[in-house]
Amino acid sequence: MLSSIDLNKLTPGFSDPVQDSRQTFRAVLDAMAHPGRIVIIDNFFSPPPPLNLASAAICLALLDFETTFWTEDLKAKAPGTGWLRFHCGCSVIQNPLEADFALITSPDIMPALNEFNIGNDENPEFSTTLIIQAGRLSATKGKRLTGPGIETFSTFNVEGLTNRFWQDRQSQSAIFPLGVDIIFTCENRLAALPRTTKVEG
Amino acid sequence: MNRQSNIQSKAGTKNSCIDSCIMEGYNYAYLDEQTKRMIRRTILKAVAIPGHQVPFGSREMPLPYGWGTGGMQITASLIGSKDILKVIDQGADDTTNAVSIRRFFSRTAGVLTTTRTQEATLIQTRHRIPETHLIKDQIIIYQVPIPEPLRFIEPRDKEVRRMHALKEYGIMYVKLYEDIARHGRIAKAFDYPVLVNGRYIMSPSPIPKFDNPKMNRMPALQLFGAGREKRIYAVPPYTEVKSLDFDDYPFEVERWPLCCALCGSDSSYLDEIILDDKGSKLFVCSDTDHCNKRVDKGYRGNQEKPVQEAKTCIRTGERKCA
Repeated sequence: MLSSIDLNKLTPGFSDPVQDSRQTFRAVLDAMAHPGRIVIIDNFFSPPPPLNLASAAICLALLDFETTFWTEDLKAKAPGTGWLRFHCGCSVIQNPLEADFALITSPDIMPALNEFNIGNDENPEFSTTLIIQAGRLSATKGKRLTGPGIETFSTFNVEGLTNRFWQDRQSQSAIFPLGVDIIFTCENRLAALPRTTKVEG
Repeated sequence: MNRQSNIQSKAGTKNSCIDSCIMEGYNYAYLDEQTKRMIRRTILKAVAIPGHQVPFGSREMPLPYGWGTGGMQITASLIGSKDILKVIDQGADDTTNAVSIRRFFSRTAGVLTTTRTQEATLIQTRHRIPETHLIKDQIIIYQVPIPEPLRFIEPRDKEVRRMHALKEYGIMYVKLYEDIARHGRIAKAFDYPVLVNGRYIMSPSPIPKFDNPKMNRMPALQLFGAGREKRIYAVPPYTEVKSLDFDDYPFEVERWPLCCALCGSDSSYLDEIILDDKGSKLFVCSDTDHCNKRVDKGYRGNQEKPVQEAKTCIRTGERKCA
């Protein structure tokens, strides 16, 4: 069962919800339309651990009572979950297969990608959007990305992910248009890897 | 409210609206925050699955369906004070629909508006893509009346969704083949179906097929909103968009034997302007910004010689500029 929210320890979210949500969404859209591009969230507030600023901002901008949310820290009763429940009103669920959004704070022990919702043939948009908090994001050497949103190719490096994750991602490219869409975050930076992007290296 | 009623955007200039002239009593950019969040989530999924129509909870807007409610809901979910908005209707910045949508967003979101394609960050359009090449980080938002390219071939929505799911598009090629059998060519002149990223057949909205090649690998993000039909879809930048055709009947765009009567352009899409009740007419650029820009640079067309008979020609070659 979910714990009750400790209201005394809650910190504020966006100071200007309308404009801050909009700016955060535009940052996510920019990232999603240009896979591998690193976008900065220009906002300051103090989300509780284990959330980083970018993940917290994305959740505040996109989650609400209509969305289901899964995170692996659910059982640990991390303050971040209560904070998101309070600010977003999202329903926190136990089964990643039913999640619209999933937040991964420890990518080294995350579930396999096919444990999340990959959508169905007629509604591939039902799939989970994963927000993965990574160790470091850089656009220098690393993976080589090609596909929609990328002019020729782009290079992208993200730290803290296992080989198994990249194998999972590889096998998802075969089931397009099904698959999960991923947003990597690190401090106030984010980059996206939609299902269309081909990853090499 | 009357305080703001003097806001106007003058053709060719940015208007000087600042935050203080945002209309009171409405949420920023008209839509409520929960609706915007829902539309934003839809847009993100649409971008992740190029060409796939994602259903969304379309809202009532303060104008009727068919006047761009889908495009406006997307624009309202994106727009912010740093944006510069351009709205065109059939290529023109000065038509009723374009003027009122531009004024709507300068009133409800306090944004700058422009008629110049190259300085806009958001371009909402009905039935045209500007002649000026769109660049990286611009976003073009199409108003879409009927998002389903297979609708007139298979009216049952359930069947159509199944066809998209299975990539079962044979019926569309049969339709195009029947056109060739009957008319000797593919007869569709606007809303010409395209294949996006090699996966989904998509309606490009009722743009003339002249504009279809501009969609292929466009550096700008393309978003499509159908308000009445409650669908949003997207084409990310640099995505392959192929107009459907056959090896022996390749896709081709319409051509005219004439140039624009105002600016002399030999490469733009032309509108026919009737001048009198004897049928005299002129052909002028449909993209008013493109035309004005050329006229400002000193280009001139042959305005003095109206055409007496219809000269819109689909298959002939070069234009002869007098």
